[in-house]
Amino acid sequence: MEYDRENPEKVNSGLSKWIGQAMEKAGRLGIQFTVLVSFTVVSVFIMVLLGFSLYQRFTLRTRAMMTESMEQLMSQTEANFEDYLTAMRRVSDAMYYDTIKDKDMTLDSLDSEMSLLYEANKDNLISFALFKRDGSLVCAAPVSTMKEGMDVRQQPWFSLAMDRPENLHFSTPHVQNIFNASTFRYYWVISLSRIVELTYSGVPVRGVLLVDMNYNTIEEMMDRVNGSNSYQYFYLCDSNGELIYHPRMIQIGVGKYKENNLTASDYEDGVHEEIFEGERRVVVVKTISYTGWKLVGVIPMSGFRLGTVSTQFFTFLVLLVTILALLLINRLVTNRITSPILRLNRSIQNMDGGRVDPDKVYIGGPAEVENLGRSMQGSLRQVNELMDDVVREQEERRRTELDALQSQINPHFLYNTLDSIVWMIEGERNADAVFMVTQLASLFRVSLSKGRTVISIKDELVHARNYMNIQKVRYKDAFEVRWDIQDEILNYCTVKLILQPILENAIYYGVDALGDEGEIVVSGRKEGDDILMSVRDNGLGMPQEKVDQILSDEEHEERERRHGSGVGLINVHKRIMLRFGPQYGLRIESEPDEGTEVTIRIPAVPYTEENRKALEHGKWTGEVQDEK
Amino acid sequence: MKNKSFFPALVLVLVAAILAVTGFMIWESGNTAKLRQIHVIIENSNDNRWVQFIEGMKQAAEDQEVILTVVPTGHMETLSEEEAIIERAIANGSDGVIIQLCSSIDAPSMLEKLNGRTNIELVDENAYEVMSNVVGVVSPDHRAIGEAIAGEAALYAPKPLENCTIGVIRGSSALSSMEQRMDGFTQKLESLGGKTAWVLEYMGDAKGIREQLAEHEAPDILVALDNAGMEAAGEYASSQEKKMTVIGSGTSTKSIYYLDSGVVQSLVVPEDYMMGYQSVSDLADYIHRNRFLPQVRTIAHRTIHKDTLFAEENQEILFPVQR
Repeated sequence: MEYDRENPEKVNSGLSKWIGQAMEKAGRLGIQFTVLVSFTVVSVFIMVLLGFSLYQRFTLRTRAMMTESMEQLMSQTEANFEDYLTAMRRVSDAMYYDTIKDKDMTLDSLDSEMSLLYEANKDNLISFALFKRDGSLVCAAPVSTMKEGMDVRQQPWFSLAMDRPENLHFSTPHVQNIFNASTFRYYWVISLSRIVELTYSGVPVRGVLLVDMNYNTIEEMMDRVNGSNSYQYFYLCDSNGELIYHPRMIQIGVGKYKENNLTASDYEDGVHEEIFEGERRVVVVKTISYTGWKLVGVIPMSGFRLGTVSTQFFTFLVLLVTILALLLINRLVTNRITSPILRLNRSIQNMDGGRVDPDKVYIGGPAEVENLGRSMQGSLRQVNELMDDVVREQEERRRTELDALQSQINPHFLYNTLDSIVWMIEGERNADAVFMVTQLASLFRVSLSKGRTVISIKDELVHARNYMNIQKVRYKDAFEVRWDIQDEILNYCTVKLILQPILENAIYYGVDALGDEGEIVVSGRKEGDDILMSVRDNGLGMPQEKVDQILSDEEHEERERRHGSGVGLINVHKRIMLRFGPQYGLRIESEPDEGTEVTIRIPAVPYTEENRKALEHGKWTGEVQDEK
Repeated sequence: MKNKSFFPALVLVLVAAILAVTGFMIWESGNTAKLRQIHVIIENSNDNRWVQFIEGMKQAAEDQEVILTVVPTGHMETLSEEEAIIERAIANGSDGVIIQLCSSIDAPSMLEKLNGRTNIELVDENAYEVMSNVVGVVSPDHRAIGEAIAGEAALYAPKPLENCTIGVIRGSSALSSMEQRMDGFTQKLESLGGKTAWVLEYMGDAKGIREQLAEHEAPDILVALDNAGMEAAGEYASSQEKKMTVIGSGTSTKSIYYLDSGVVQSLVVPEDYMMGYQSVSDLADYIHRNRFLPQVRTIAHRTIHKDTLFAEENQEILFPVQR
């Protein structure tokens, strides 16, 4: 994301949006992934932070240790140097105070004393020499002849001694070049020179005493301290920064290597930091007393850090292993944390798809998840109970509705029948009245059927015959009734009182107006798994529009409101559908002036107690239980 | 599904990275544990003339962390002797060989045979025809040295150069380096009006040259084109009553001594320390990096007189502290 200098708020809002999107995306990826990534990111961040802090601490500690170690080593080296240089000064002192001062050069020779002193110190010395102030040689050991044409007054050590007579002077290393090298050998020396007082016939004369110290001794001492560590190194320079020793002396001489010796000579004793040739380094300086020489120790900063390639790779390897270990541990921890939640989630996954058994809800894991599971289980139990209550209420409502529909028939019928009986009694047709009452009694017996709503087709037909007998008496046999019923359907279940309203409509709206020519045919048969019962009349019939309206709900409400024809038909139709399902019910076919046929379709359910009860309680599943 | 495959993939990547780094570290440790070895084959390896050269090589070996072995040799008569020594070095597991040829004749075919079997750095030899099969070359400019000697001869001539008898001691004509010096010297001398009276050629060491010198009248100017000749010339001149001018090239303490003692007037000194340092550095660099980048380097030379012999800038080169 690019930073917008003009509009930082835009950037902030962009960042917030990005974080929001990332969180949202992470949320979609699942709890396990989110927890794992969060754990890993946090732990890696902490590890990096910790690693960086430790690394800084390690660097500082290493630096302190290395510096301390270097200081100790330098203190030891400085002590060695001081011992060595003190010994050299003592040699010079011995030569001067014990020998030269006691001798009159006119009378005595110094050769034997000088040779003796040289022999005693020849491991550290190359030569002794005593010069007059005019540069002429008084005596020397072990070689006593100077090179032809040699003027020692041109030598730096001579002029330095003459210029500053109060001190002893140490030169920088150089090849000794004043004596004849008959052995074809040249030596690197450090010249220790001083002014001495020579006595010639009692007259003091100035001269210069030269002690050429073997440079190898100094070099060996420095090589020893340099050999131990490849990072750090030590060099020696004089107070002007002139190199006395450096592990890369020749390379510096030919310009192949550079050293910060001129700056270092100005440093005070102690630890300094400098940048030289683009490299940061720590420099420890110690001044060697009397000579003013500076012993300088150098540690490049890379020596404190992860300097070598192998160390860097090792660090990288540790980092990788740690990240892998963190990932695996985080995965384990994440699994442990999220597994109960995921199991709980799986156990209630189908909750919205239907009924869930509360006993299958996962109860376990940490206390919080267990509580959640128990709460969920309790809630599910309550939901199931509520659902059962709703089903029960619906069933109750259906039964009530059925009862109400059924009860709508009885007033019509009873009113008409009683009206006929009254009419017969008034006309003193007592036998007919008795017949009517008998038929009515039989009809009510079937109607009651001990409160059952499902009866056998046989009983339904008895009820239909009773009804038709009553109506025939009423209508003075003005129409014919034919019964065409297959015996095999008699022992199947049916909703009671479904034929009577159809017969009633066939009489009132079909054959009533035909006089003696009316005919009603009641038939019943089994067709596949269904029972078909039909009532056909040869009455007036009706147009198709009317047929379509008869079984519609709107028309039903209108007819109920007007108490018009067809109320019974729609009642029958709804009762059948409520009991057996929407694929069952009535079908009306009619042609004007041809007649009407109403067909009842119900499933062929054998009339057994079990089937009857199942149908009564609305638990019929559509599977037929046969009599066995 | 996406999440399920992400974790194993990440773990696989990490494991692969760990294996790769571990493998590299093992390879690296095996590589660094075995220090590379460089053999140096030079004629008369103990000769004092090699002191500066060997010191330079030692310093470079320390800097480059290689093992340096200077094979002890004497005078090598033929190139086949030198080849046998090189073969032994290769058989001993040498990663690179620094060679100073004892003869330039047949050197190309010998180098051709060695090519690809080890890394070869040639020193003190810059003849074009022998350089094609070597990793690198570090050598002084021999022709320029010859010319510098001729110039110094003219400078220190006791009388007009055309009137001086000039005797020359030279090394083997089988060495192209010596041929180049001789050519450079002769051409320059002639351009300055001088002419060589005689030329003595020695093979191997220069001990036999004394007898040859005795056969000639002492010249006005005695020229030595190499270190062994310079030592012989210094010895000869210091033993003669006749004062003569001695000029030449040399690096040994003995040669320097003759300059210091006034027997020799001028000494042309190749920077052998740098030749040693550079040859080992280049070869080690090639061995460590396995980088084929042939380097042909020319090292400088200095003209030293008695008054500049102990000058600070010359001391380190002429008198390296021997470790």
